[in-house]
Amino acid sequence: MSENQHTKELSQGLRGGEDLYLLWVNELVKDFSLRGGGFLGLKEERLRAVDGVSFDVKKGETFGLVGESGCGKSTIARCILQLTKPTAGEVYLDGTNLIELEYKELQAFRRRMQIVFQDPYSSLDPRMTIKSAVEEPLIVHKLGEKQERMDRVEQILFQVGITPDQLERKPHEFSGGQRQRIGIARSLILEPDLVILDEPVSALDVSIQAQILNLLKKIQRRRELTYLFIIHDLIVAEYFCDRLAVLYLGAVMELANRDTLFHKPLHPYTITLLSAVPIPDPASKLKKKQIILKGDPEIAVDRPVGCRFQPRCPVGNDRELCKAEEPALAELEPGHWVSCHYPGELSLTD
Amino acid sequence: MMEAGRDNVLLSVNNLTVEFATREGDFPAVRDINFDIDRSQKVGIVGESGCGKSVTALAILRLIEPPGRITSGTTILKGRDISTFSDREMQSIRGKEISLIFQDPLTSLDPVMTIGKQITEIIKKHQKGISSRDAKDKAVELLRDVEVPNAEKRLGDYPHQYSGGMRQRVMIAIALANDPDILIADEPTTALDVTTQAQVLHILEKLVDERQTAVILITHNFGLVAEFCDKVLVMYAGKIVEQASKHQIFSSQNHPYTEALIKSVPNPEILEAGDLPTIPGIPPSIVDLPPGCAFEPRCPLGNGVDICKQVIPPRVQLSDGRSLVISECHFAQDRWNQKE
Repeated sequence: MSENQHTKELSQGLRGGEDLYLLWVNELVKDFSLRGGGFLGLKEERLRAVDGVSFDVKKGETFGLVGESGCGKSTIARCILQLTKPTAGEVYLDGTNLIELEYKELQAFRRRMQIVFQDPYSSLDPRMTIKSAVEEPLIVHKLGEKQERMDRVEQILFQVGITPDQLERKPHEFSGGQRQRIGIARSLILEPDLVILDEPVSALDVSIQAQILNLLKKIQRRRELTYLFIIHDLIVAEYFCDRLAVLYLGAVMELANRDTLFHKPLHPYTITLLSAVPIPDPASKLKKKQIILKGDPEIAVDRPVGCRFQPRCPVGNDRELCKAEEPALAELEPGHWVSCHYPGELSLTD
Repeated sequence: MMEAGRDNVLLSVNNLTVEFATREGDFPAVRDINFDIDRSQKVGIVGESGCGKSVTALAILRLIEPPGRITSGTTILKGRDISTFSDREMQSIRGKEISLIFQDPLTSLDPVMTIGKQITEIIKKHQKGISSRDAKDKAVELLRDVEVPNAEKRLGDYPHQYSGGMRQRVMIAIALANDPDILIADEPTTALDVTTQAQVLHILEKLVDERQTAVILITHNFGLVAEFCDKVLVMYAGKIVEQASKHQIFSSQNHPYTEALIKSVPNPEILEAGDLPTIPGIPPSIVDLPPGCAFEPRCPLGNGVDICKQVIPPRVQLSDGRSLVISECHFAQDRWNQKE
């Protein structure tokens, strides 16, 4: 099958009914150039952080991007937000390809997608009052008069649990959980359609995580928001996401809805990942076998041919097909996509 | 299983209090804590930020620096009170009888010294008279134990040439180089990916089981506790509010904080469609501790109750003949009786 034909089928398969989809990422590629390789450091090497990733997100759903360091999930988020320009591929928001837009046209779309960052300690300007921090997006996009802006700021902060008497305070006067609430408020003030949550609870204590996750769910229901959730904690992912894509070294290994991914995974990397998660319950019967990967993840610099997971794969390590050919992302059952030559061979219950 | 006999006790921490001096006065990071570690026992210390778990580890090894200081308590290691040891005497304990590994191996390893040199250095420090040849052989053996491939060649590499998971495994190798009785691991896998974490813990467990090393694992990850530990100490605002076997802690918590905390941990076994249970409010700051129980403002049981507001709860030992739970709560006995 030629590459173009494959892409077309993939994209048609992924995009069921056009108006259902808020975000469509198509064959996204992002390369970074690394200087300093080779003799005298003159060779320029290319790091392919995102290697042809496609997925779409339905209006109102929570789509999870799951993977470990180097998988490309944060780079994908930055490409979607146009914070960095992709090397190839398209990003469609509500049917419009953002990559082709001029700066001014892009601004209008920028309002519709916002991001909440991981680290509540560094994502707020320490010199600004939280009132100003949350007001800032409105000023940047030239929205509303001073009084209207103030009303909106107060209202949104109240919705996330920050009372009016706290508005003039600076970030350091708040706890991590409160700062994350402020970050969430700031992302909502422009009333976006899509919010990208980049590890929003990873830096928080367990009991505070629960508070923030509940808040995010409540806001989503109330405002009919669509979430793209970047997460490494698989238990939180299972709790929070409707559909997920598992990424490894810049490519999608498996994509499915929550129940399928967590209970009937087919890709050996997904299965390994799930088996590695420690369950907070010693009496749990969920984990029958733990698969320990050998070796360490390789950085995808001028990666050789074959499946990128093959060197560490419990199934494909040493198999000819896996070494020779990168498996295509194929829809093995409706809505369940897997990129593997031997899907389903690995089992946790032997 | 618990308290198998006094001669099994390796380390006994009694009435330990650590205070930090500030302009506004002295504030306690750790308040009158008591616990024992048995030979080859794996103990988890859990709690949220600011509860004092890391300070506890540093206090055991007398690594508390000003403005912090240990203001009371004894630390009995194999029958000797090391809390009165001089710094010189402590140097023969650290890295030899008790070892410590931290979360971030990048800051613990010297970036301009080869991995080999850092391992042999610790070996030579505590095994006086060992030849360089023997120390090097031991270093290679240790790297093999922690599954670093091409161990002999990799002795000559620098920390930045190792991946994060490998560096943490090197830390384990260094910590176990002199066969300590106790290994203290403070959030050893927090900065690692989940598959790397599994790898590191698998190796750690293999090695400590082989060597019968006791482990104090400091973590906020209940999954790790469930997989790795025998006994659990739950800390809140500088106190150990509950101590029990792992099974006890997960199945029937005595202290209301332990119960609320376990319930707020997402658990795939009981994934619910609704909201996650939470604990309202936030942990207190050490400069603002109430006169009574520090958990009272957030406690579903004690909030507003006079004795909880005014009196620090006593340590209560609860036993049914098979298991022992130690809980610091005014309602501890009642709750214990109720579950019978």
